[in-house]
Amino acid sequence: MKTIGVAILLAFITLSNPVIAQEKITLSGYIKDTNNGEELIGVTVYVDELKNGVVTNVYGFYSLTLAPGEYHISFSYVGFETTRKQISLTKSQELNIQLEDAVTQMEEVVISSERAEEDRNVQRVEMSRNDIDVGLVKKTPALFGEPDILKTVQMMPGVISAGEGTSSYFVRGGGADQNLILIDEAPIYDPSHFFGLFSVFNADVIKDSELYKGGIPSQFGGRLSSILDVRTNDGNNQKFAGSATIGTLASKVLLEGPLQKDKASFLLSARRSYADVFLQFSPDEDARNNQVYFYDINAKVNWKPNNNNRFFLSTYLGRDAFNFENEFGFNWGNATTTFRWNHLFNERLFSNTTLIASNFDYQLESQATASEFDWKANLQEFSFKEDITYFVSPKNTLSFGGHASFRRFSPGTINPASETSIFITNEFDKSYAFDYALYAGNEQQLTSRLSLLYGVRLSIFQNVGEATIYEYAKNEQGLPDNINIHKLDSTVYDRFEPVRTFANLEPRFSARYLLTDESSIKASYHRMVQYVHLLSNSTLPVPFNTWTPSSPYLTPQKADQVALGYFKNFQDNAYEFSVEGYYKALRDVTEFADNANLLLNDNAPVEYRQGEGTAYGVEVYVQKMKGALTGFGSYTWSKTQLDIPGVNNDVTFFASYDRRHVTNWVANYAFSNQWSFGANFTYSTGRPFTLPVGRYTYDGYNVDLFSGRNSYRLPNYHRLDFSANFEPRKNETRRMKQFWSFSIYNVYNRKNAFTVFTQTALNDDGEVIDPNRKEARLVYLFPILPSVSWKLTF
Amino acid sequence: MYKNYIFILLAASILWACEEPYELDVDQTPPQYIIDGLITDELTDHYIKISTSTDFYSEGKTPGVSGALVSVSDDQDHEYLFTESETEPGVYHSRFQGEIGRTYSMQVNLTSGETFTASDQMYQVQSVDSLTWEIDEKEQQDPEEEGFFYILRIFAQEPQETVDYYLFKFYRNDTLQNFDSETGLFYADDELIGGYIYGLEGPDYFRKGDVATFTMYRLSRQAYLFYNDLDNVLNGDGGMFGPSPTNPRTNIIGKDGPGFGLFQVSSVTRESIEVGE
Repeated sequence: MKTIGVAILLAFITLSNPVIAQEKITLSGYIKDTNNGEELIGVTVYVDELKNGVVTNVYGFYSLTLAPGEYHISFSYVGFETTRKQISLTKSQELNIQLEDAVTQMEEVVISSERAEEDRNVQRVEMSRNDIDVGLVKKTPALFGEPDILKTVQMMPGVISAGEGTSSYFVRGGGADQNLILIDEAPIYDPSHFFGLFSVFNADVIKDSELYKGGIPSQFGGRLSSILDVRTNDGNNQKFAGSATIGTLASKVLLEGPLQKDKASFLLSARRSYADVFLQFSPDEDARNNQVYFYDINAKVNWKPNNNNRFFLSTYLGRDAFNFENEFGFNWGNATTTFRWNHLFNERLFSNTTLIASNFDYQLESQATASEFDWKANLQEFSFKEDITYFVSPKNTLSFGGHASFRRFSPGTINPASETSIFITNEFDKSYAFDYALYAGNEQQLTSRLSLLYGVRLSIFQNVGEATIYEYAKNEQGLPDNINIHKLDSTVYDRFEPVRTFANLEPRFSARYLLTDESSIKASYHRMVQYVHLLSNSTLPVPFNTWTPSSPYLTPQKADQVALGYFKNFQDNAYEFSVEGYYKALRDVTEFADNANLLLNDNAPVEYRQGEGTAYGVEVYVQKMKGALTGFGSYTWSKTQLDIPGVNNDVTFFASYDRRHVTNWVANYAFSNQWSFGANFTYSTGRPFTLPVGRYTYDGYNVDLFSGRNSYRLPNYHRLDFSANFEPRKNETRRMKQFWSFSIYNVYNRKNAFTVFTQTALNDDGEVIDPNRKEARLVYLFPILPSVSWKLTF
Repeated sequence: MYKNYIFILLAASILWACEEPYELDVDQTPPQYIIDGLITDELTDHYIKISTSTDFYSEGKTPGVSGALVSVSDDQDHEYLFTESETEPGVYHSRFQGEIGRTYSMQVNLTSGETFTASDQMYQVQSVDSLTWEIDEKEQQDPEEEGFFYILRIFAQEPQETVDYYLFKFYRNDTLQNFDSETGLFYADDELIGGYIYGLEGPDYFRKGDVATFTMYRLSRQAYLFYNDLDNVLNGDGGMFGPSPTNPRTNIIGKDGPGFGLFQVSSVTRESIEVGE
């Protein structure tokens, strides 16, 4: 039944292209940055005669199928000089283009008299998609001076930061575990360093990052709310280059260069925090024994023996480690490796074959006498992906492919770490799953004004053995009884024997109608299905939360979203503006019973609860792309409510990721060739919070009394940051260039609530005045924080 | 037990955090009845305390509820009537000795017409093999409080064939020790625990000459869950790293659903040692 759907779609695409019979020839090639040979993603290739064009794919490749003739073609990309070519096409031909970096123009923005092609905001069929401009990220203020794309992702319209100093974010009414984060196509299960102060993404190696929130193309799937697709640089294939940066909390080095000029290059970067280095100088002996650090390494090689084949191998390795007085320690890390092969079957058929291995693990250990233990857990994934793009004609670009992966979830093994430990070895049951997807999509220009992007994804998820599945007794509500746990029955499954198979058809659709050359309306619909669930009942996930597959205990989560938007560019595309509204219906959203115990619990399935959610909102976005002043502003109004049987007495409640108003502003002003200044401002309604409505006494304890969940709000959050970037004049003549960045975080020193908790009231000396009196206390993280970093490039 | 480590971890993650008092904008809500009852296998005056909740910012003790009819019966048709204390309003006593294996049911009728019931079963607790004390040399060099550098170690067995739940209390000269905190709470299940508890450390430091007492109560699963949830309320972080706080699950049943508090039935074991001798 489902494969018929794909067949119909393919037939439709074929039928809608009767032109194929006519004689056609193809112009194709790669577009690169002259400076370092990096392929550029998303370059507009525009054919004047057709008043139409294409953009380069994520590997910098484009393909245009045309009738023979004379064409004027322009290649344009933000931040680069537009290149124009006049070409006489008689047979299929390859045209590789190198674009020159636009010289920083201080005098005046050159207004092109010709039609500019940088209006992707309006022209692009996709909506609800944000490009994270790494260049801007590097110039704007950053916490501890470390540029972080995830902090910028958190400022996009429709995105809500999970809290200050975290890497977690919520997209359009989804939880932090509903975002798929990809680095060179490999999934990252926990993107945080230092619990989110930094992210795993070292801004120096990032080439491109895109956030998809709606009308998500059919090649992506697996999460309900968003996809963050991050691509790293391939390495300079023209000359050997590098940089070193000394920052406030972390330092990093980057080396890149050709292995074989124009054909092969490498990139290697490493970053490490050094707070622990300072701890060695502490007068306190205990502090010297503390260990607190993170590091990450990105390594990549690529080899292009000819224009039809290209191979990439990229690896990311990162880890955080904490150890306190040799008594208690924990660490976690991601390791991913991606091997890709880009192959051109012919100038219109582009194939990308990917092999991915990803591992996320964490470990906790205690050396406390009699309770020594060591707890290890991990999640491993192996994937194979085949993505094919068929450039049918300038009016149709067909994408299709498949994806298969195997995952092993090991929620943990706890081992006694001494002979006299009270703990015994306990291994929690592993889970295994196969995951397959087949997809097909087509981007089609119907008329000069109307374009469509439509497709479908068939996802199949199979929870397989070895496994022992229990049938748990139910309570009066018909939900698994988590008070008196009774296993009624059990079924044992052998290795790779299917336990439960789920299949879903996920339609995806986007349409764009051009109102004028500078404005359009767009609409989209998508269905997303998520087969993995994060066992976390807090607002902020921590690396020690475990993932679990869909199984007889948990149904896949589903989301249907419709969105409608208006897009307009002003002043020759100097300003981009958009307003979008969305409505999302969530089914089988995973939540957990009140007071659920999810940690090291063999019977965790009795705590699972699933229900419905609704999320809707309006997002406004304005971006200035050109001139001395660049930046963006966003405003989001949104509402997210959940209705989960067995949670909050079955009463609808605000999700912990609900925020009513959020606005973010980011700006950078190039004052001179030496100085540029940046600023951020962020404002958000407070997080929902469960307020105590009274207190009572039990066995001498002074206990809070609660009514409904999340019915109160923490104070509003707002913060202003400044930065200044300085590039000495001498840089112009030297090979070694220096850069200075200064930032001030939280300029007006606001004490923003991270959380509020209650305790027995204490006086200023921390003593109890009256054991019966309670007080609430607000926890805030960062006061005004200056930071500096120095970078050297060669 | 492992749970405590998670709190250390979370505390560590906000090492750089600061805090200050914050005024909650609390609503007035009608008071709720709270029941706090304990029956043990010791021959003693068992208590059932009835009180009401008050406003969050109210001062003073929460008010006791007088004039209630309170009784407990077991599954062998014994009934024990509880009488209200003359000195402490809302505290009801009855002297008897609980028996292992019995299920006890509580019946409370208030003058307001409200009624509450609850029941809980008494399971066998293990005895403690021994208690020892030991000098913490690091603490001895620089004690936080003069003379306090003795630690307590507990040796006990844990039956592996049954699923058991415990509540622990530590006393220094009859004063409850709570790890220097108003909200310290020690309870455990035996899911990850081996057959022998070999020198587990007690909370806080003792002084030479102190009498250290370790008490272990065997809990039912329902009572264990109550303490687990109570811990979430007392030591939660407002739902950032921890779960959103909710009222503890209880065995108290009122006319319109679950009540507040716990009717706990436990066998208990006690062991004392004079520190430094």
